[in-house]
Amino acid sequence: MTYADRLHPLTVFLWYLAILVLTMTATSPAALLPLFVSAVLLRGVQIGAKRLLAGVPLALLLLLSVTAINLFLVHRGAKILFFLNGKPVTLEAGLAGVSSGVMILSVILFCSCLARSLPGDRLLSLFARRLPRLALLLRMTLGFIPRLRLRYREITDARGALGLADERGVIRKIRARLSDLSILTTLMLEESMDQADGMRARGYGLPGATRAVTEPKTFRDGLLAGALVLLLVPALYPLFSGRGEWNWYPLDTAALLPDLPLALCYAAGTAIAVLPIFLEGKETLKWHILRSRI
Amino acid sequence: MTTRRTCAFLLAVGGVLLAFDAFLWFRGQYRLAFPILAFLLTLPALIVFEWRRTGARELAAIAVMTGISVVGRVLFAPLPGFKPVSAVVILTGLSFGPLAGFMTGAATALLSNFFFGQGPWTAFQMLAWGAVGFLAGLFSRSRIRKNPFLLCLLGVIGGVLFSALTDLWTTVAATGTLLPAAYLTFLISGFPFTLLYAVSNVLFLVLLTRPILRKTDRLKRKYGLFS
Repeated sequence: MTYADRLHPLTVFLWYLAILVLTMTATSPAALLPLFVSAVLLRGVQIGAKRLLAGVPLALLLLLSVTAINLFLVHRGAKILFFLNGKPVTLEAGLAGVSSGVMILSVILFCSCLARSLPGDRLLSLFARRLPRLALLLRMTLGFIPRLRLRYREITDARGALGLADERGVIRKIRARLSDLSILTTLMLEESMDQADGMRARGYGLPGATRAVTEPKTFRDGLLAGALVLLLVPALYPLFSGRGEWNWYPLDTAALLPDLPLALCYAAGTAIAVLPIFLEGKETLKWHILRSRI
Repeated sequence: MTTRRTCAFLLAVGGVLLAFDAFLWFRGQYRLAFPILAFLLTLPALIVFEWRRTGARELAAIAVMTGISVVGRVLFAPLPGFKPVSAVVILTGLSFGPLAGFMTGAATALLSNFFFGQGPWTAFQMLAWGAVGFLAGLFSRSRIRKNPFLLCLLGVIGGVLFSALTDLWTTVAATGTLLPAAYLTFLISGFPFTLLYAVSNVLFLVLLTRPILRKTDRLKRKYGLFS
């Protein structure tokens, strides 16, 4: 059980949403780099160093390709490295590419952290109240997926037992799969109608239905939500005021280090991303310490 | 929560997001502005879906079709670009109408990305597949809906739309802006994939139209769905 499992899904969702908005709007290296480091650490705490390192080659590939895209497609900037087909390839474009790659990597990392902290069923429970029909549709589909696989197996088994699984040649194979699929469609659609009638019989769609609340909001949720609001005010200040707006073209090395007010704003944003590392890390640490070594 | 309150809530969310998106546009924060815009474009369909109080049987039928396309996407995961999703979504639209087509497409993108990884790109995939389903649904009451040329055309449009929208996200994510030249380069360099999407869509449509459309039409008549 991770720390996020004990929180209300809304708290976890809003927290990660804030991190994602901050990451996707962070343009200056001073804002982006701490967020990237926290993303790596958070993912590392969640899945362990070994699995994190296994993703490094793919991450490098992504970083390299995004850099290359910028180098060869964006021809702005003052420091020209060389000319390709008469078009300048600039240092600024390369740096902007690296920064873009780091941003995309951070977003991917934070998204996978969110997926682990807030699995699909808890995420859906969040929307169940606000979007009842969409949530029901998604849940019914999730229920049908394993049943589809089961029925498919049953169909192929039954056809095999009847001696209809003559699969010599590609054409016959495709035909066999298609008729399996055809049977599956009929079977599942009819089954779903029975399920829908069952739902109606039990009063689906009648007015006055109440919802079972299985996720209590606790004091901890209130505390974290308060902290989030307090941190978000300074963290979002650069975005809303336009201060510290970063521009790679032309590169202004003097602006790499933000002044104190701006640095404090970035620190607030980083704090939002860093807090989950400690909260989740505490649990991981506890798990390792308390685990029996017999 | 009544339907009216649900829709009011969705409209409020849409309004706030629209204002935020306009602000991001003004600031030049295209990386966040584009995914939000894509999500905003799926919102009207969600509102209508909730507003119409889609019945239990209709929901169940849409859920089965979504399930088939999600399983199809997962089963065909080893073959990049070769997926039956668009075909199933188009057939659902042709049979059950524009709204059902849109919901099948959008729900497939949302649910299958629980297997493939969620991210800002989910909004673009939801929009792309949803739009294809919606477009197909516009022909659901037309006499030419089983016309092979129409099916081919829808399959090709599905492939091109999916490519165009995912490339839009790639361009904006990689460069931070929407440079027409960069977008064009992506579209051209991604052309083999676009072609693969289109061809696989048409191929799946050729194979699946007869078995699936017959079943869904029969179901619709037998239970009086989507009437």
